[in-house]
Amino acid sequence: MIMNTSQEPDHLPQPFAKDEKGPFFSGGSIVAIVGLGALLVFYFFDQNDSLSLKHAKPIKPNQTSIRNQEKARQKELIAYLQEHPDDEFAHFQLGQLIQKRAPFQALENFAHVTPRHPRYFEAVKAIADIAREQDLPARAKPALLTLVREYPEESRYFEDLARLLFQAGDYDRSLHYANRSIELGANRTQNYLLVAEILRYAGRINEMAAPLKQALYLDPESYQAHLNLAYATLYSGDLKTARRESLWCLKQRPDSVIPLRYLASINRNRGEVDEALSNLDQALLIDPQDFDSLLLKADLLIFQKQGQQAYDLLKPLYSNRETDRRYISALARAAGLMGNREEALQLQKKNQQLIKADDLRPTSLQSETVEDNHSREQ
Amino acid sequence: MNHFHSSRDSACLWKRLSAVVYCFSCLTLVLSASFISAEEKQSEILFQDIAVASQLKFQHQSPLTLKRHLHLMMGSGVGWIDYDNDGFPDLYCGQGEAWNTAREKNRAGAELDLSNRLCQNRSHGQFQDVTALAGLISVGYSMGIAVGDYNHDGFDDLYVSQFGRNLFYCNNGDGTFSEITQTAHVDDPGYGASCTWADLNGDGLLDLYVANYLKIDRQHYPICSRKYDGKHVYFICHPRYVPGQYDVIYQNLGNGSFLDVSKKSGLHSEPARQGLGVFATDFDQDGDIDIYVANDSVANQLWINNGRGVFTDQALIAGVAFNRSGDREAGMGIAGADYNGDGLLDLFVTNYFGETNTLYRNEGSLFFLDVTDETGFATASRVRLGFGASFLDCNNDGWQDLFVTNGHVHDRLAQLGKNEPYEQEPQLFLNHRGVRFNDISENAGTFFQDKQVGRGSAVADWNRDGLADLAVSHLNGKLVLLENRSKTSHQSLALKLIGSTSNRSGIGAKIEVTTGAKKLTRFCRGSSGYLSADDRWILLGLGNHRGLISIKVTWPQGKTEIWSGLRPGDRYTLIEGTSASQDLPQKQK
Repeated sequence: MIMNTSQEPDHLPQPFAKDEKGPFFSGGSIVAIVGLGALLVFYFFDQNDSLSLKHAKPIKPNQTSIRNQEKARQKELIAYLQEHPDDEFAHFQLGQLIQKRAPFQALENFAHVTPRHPRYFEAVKAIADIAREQDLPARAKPALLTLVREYPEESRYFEDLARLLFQAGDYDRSLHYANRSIELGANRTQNYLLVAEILRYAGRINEMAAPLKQALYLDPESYQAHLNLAYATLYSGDLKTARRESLWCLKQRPDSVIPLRYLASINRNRGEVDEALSNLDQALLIDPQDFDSLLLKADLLIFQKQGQQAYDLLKPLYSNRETDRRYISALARAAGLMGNREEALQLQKKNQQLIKADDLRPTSLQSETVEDNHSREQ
Repeated sequence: MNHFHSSRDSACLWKRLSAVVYCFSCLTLVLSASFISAEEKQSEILFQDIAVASQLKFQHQSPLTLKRHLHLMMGSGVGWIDYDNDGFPDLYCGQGEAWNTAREKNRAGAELDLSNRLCQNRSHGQFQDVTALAGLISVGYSMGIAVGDYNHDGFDDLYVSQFGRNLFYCNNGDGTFSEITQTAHVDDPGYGASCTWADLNGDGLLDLYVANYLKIDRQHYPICSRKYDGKHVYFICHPRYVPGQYDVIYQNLGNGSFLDVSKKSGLHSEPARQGLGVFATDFDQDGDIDIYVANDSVANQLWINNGRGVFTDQALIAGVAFNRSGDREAGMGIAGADYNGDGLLDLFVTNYFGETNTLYRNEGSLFFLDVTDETGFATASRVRLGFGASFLDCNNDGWQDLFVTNGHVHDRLAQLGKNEPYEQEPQLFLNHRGVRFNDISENAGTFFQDKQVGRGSAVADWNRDGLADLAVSHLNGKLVLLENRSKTSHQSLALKLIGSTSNRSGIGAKIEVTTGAKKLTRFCRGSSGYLSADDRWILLGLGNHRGLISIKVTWPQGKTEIWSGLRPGDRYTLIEGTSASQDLPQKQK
């Protein structure tokens, strides 16, 4: 069964963009360097303020006075911090003052506030907010963990943490916090969609239906919930519901490829191969490049022993899909069916290499601890 | 007048004719209605657990430990063996053990309750436990069971793989067995799983193939745990992170002893894997026996024989190493049969929860296609963890149906926040003309509504009523004997093969029957599903065929014979070299 993949547009919104790390710098060091740079720029900007003001739009007198007051306060705090770099409250105040204009510098200022200080948790909240806005998950995570400990009844921190951990691929913990946020009263459609999405990525697709039904209870017109319910029920074998949901989605968006593909999968699972092929032809009319539809069609052609047609459909995609194991496997089967045994073997070997690469990723059932037990302890 | 009279006569005749046609039409309608209803009745499949009623009281014992020792989750097999040659299959049940009683059992001497058991089929609907009488009291955690006549004395012998040293029992022919494991040199100390007898070097003697699982023993035992919600939760280790153990081939030397030829046979040509299921047949149809092994969480292997007992793994090129998505799956049991009537043996492999059980359709020329989705197995199996699987023709319609027993290996997933049931319902799939399998579990009897932790399954017509029955083993649970009570007008033919120049059990032989337009192909199997062994008698459902039947047997060494004039509903023992027609040498090498 070919399901939604991460490239597909009908996915739930991603909580944070991917944290792509450079090969030599950790996220923290990048933030520190950026922060230092920001401080210099900020200081330089402050020195040349009068110059830049010449090019600025006219400012109303009261705004100007507030701005001037802020600037004066900034200068004052910076000067003070040069003399007293360990003053946590000064750091906190400066952070608050520049949070909007210089968030990276503010982050560094807030980071100087220690748990001993009475404004510590406000600083942590500010760090969490800035890190989320600036897409800095490595900074957000410890802040949110602190906040869920300190405010165990505040659902929004649990939700934020769940989204963060989900993005990091820590599905078990992400699910825990997402569920906890719902227990604490977060009762919006997107909370349940988040739980469903985590379950999906955790490979627990059979559990997706319950949160999706809850999402639909809250918002019966949620397209995402309907589409994901179609996916979940198709997976777990409730083909009747899967068909109903797919048809609903198709009615809402007649030009959508995904529900058509689901219908094709449903028909395939019912043994109605010709109907499945018809669904796919319809999908490919809408989007001739839809990879999953092409793959599914090739699969059905292979089932019908039409190796050559499947091969012709798949082979042109090779350069873009050579690391996709589903694709490599389908191409190998098509080649094998045509009698190209050597090509089939080489493709299967390539698949084996791709598996080895996948094996470097931990599975959900990998133990955190493995001990060699010599005792007979029960 | 005449003309008038004549036309009046004609009119009268016409009326009468109309009346006759009308009556005939009505009769046809009534008949066709009753025919349809009869056809519908024919498809009523029903199985009933009669273990208690038939005095089968075997209880598997494998209590789980706090630390969830892995082997205690794997269960034991069942094997049908007609040990007394009375024509009624007897049942041998593999037993587990508790982790902390393993040594005590060795010390204190074996106890019947903790032993494997042999239950004699008394032929009047009852079984009797004859374990002690037969000298079969055993110790250890038993896994796979293989039944075959290794010494050509006419009595089937027993090989039992274990977690630890395996067991080999020679049938003395007088109702007793002798344990000859060490003298026969087949005492592999590894973690044995499924095993099978098969003539692997073509010398007419049954050799042994033992699929070994993991490289662990009581002294080197991995314990796995995870922290969840601040608590340490133990669970059985994922097999991908425990080294596999090489499978073993024992060559039968013909003098009562065996030789370990695993290395020489090529099994060490690639890294050891985590084997659980095994199936032996001539996959490439070149006249020798090949071996397919289902491995847990790593690629499956298809060992192709060069005719001299040397094997190379060709699973990749044959398309049976992975599923259609290019994923390796957690292979447990293997069932093999020609499901679509094309004369080729197809393979069904049970897999892990979240994966599908996989049906590989044999396309010939050593090439298989994963047709799981199109045949109806994908959605039916994705939220189950399959173990035992057995092909059997439930209603004798000539199409091989499929039984699957399910049950998880993790009983604490709820503690890890997962919703995967430990106990699961078994399933029965009806084969619709070789195109598609329909899950008919809901209406196949109450057994199919009970959630259990299923493991092994084996087929036999234990009461000789012409319908295939099933024995099913359960982890830490009672053995189930499923009597086939399906209503069908279809008849079957029961065949037992006895080799003379081939191995005496006929393992690896192919049987072909033509009934009208339909050709049936059946295979004499050395193992069944997961850890188990089917009865040596093979049932062929004949559908609506009522006439005399001709049977073609291709013996393991390639020679073919034809027997003619066999009557539906009867039982026949076919002895190699005794047919009228035996001049069709088909060895392709």
